[in-house]
Amino acid sequence: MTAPLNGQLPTELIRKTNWRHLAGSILTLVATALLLVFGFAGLLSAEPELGNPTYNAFVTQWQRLKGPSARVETLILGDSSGRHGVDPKVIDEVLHTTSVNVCTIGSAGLINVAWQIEAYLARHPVPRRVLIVHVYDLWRREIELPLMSHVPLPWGYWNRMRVSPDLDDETTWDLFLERYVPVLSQNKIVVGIAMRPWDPPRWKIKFDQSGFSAIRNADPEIFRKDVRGQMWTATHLEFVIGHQSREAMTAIDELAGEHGFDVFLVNAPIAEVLMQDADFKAYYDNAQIEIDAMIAPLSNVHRILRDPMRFPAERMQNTDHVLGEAIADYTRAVGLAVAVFEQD
Amino acid sequence: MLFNSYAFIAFFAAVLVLYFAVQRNYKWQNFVLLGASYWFYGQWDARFLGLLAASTIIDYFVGRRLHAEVEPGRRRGLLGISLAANLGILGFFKYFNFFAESATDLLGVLGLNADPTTLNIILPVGISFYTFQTLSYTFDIYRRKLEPVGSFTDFALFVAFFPQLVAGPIERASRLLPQIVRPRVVDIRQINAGVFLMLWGYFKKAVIADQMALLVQPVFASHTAYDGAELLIALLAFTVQIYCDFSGYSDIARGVAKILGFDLMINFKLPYFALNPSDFWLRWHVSLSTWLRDYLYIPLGGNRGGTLKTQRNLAITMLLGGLWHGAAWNFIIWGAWHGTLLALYRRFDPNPVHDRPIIGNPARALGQMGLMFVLTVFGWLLFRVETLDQIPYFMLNMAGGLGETGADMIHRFAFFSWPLLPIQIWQYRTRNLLAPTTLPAVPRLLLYAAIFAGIVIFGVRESMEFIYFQF
Repeated sequence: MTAPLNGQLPTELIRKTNWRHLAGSILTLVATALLLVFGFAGLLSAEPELGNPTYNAFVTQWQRLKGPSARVETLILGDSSGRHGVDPKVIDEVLHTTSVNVCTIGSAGLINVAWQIEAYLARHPVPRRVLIVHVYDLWRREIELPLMSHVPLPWGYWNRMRVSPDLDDETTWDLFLERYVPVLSQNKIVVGIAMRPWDPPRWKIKFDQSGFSAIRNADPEIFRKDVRGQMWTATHLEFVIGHQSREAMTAIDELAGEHGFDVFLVNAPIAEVLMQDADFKAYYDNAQIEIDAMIAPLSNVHRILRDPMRFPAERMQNTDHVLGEAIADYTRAVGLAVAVFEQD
Repeated sequence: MLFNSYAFIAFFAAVLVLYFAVQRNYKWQNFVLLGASYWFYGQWDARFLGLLAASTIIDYFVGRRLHAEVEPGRRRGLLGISLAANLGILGFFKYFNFFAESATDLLGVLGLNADPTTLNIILPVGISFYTFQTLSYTFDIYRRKLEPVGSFTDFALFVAFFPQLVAGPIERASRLLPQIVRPRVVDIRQINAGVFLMLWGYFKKAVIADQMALLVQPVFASHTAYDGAELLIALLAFTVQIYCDFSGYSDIARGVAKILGFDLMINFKLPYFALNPSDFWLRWHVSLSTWLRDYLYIPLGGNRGGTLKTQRNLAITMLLGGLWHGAAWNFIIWGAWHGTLLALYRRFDPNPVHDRPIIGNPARALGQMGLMFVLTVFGWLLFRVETLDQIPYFMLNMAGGLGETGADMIHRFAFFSWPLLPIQIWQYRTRNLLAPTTLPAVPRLLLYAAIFAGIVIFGVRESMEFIYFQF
């Protein structure tokens, strides 16, 4: 195509060197790695608010579950729809009980709920009941590796649990790095600081003492985006209950049977606009039938609010997080459904 | 197994231990490297090891017969066997569905209905690279420019050498085989250069290319959701991404090879500093462009038959070069674009001088560089589009305002890509791609530490495959 290479193109001129220089290069890289690993770990322990807010919230709820304030009759577990939607104070009023909300996040999946129950039973007296608040589109999910790495139980805990994911060596190694090398697992934080050093991002999810975390402000843009996302899910994906979710529910049922407590599986609140859409409604109804079939053999798991509580857009932050007075309304409905079930 | 994975680091460490444990006997070293190469390749899909082995066996025996044979007809027949086997495998795995679908579409246009016969074919990773590499062996023996290698192990290592097996550089038998068939002296200077190449390659891949990918992917996945400057930034980001992704891979491959005592060819020579289309192809994917020049363009007649024939040969070479990248029309259009640029440029400048030093007339040289860069960027639009209707959409909507999303994209683009500029200007001015290794100890170590810290902190964690693996 062209003339042969001429002498003007760049080439590689290798300079003279010696072993001392090479060793210096390699030692520099090792020293840099150590500095970054320990420096960032130190920074995060000094200023936890610089850390990933999701991980922080996840660990906070786990620590609450392990602590003495979690010795209650009613344990509230599940994803963020429960964390923001079920207020233990209202549950206490309606059911004349003591309760704590240790809901975490949807990406932790139901296996995390099973682990929480198992860890709880190892530390505290048996609760009277466990509520599990779960969003319909999370049944397919498995626990995400970063969250699994942040469960504050001794390394290898998953092997000692009743239900355990299959981890190959590479995944276990990734888990190790996620857990013990935060500069790798939380590097987005450092990126955020480096990109805006004059205004480093700081996040904090606020909880009250009972583990409840209220969302104060509506955000119509978030709501609209979430509606679009949920509609896409309903029209493009088949409803599936993942293998891990099934195993987790079976383990939870076994634990309930062995220790003698009831498990209430609660549908998360849902945006009215979704349920008014025929395609979405059909998808949702089909999901309920699948969930019914899955828990039919489980004698200690009971469904409440199978017909989900619906809210208009202005009372929600997204399609399953309620706001303001809707929180009390939803929590009261959950409590009353439990009460009705227990009276029967 | 990706270079940018922990598994590769562990693998390479194990290979180094074994390799240097048998350093007294280079033949044992070759066994170690061959075993490692097959293991490395098998990590993607062990089923395709058979293809790699088949290609190796055919060309090993064809090469020996070709060398011994004197009768021209038989020699052509033997070459035909090698071509049919290698290009047959490549054609089936890479192009069968494309041609079947295209033929069906064409029949549809002519009013004839036909059922498309497509198969669920998985593209074996790196097949285009090792096929071209092994073909260079039979071509060179056919032309009596190379003698066949005696040891089957040595030849198998030439085909499967793991640093460059899946994404090049596409080595020539005449360059790599002599390094395989004799003892290697692993020199401290080579290791030093290899360490820098690996470090800089990882930085280009994990930090620049993968961060650019986060800007590029959403835009090309749903282009109508973006307009104005967002499209332009996405296109510029892809221009940076594809260079850093591919040259990053080449640097890592060359660095790994250097540490093992091998010298692989330089695959990228600061391509975005090119002054004209001809210059660009001396700098971009050099191992492919020179392969196409030596085994396709020159055998077609090169520039020996007058202007029209030269332009025809350029067009054929570049169209096939485009098709080499993938079985899709946009790659063919991209090849046609570069073929047209080369042909037009030839008309204006029949004796191109490459890489004029800019001290003579910096403004003119910068103007040429700028124009060539714009033409290259347009080429990348043709290359990257997911559907052909994205081409007019980008062109019609690219010149527009800058919203909040666009401003954030510019911030991210500049933040993650700026390190490329000072390093490349330095390499360009010194004409030395290893310029950073020439620094005195303290600034050099500080630079290495900064690059390494950049990889750890700013590297995208989820290992993204290298773009050129798909080719």
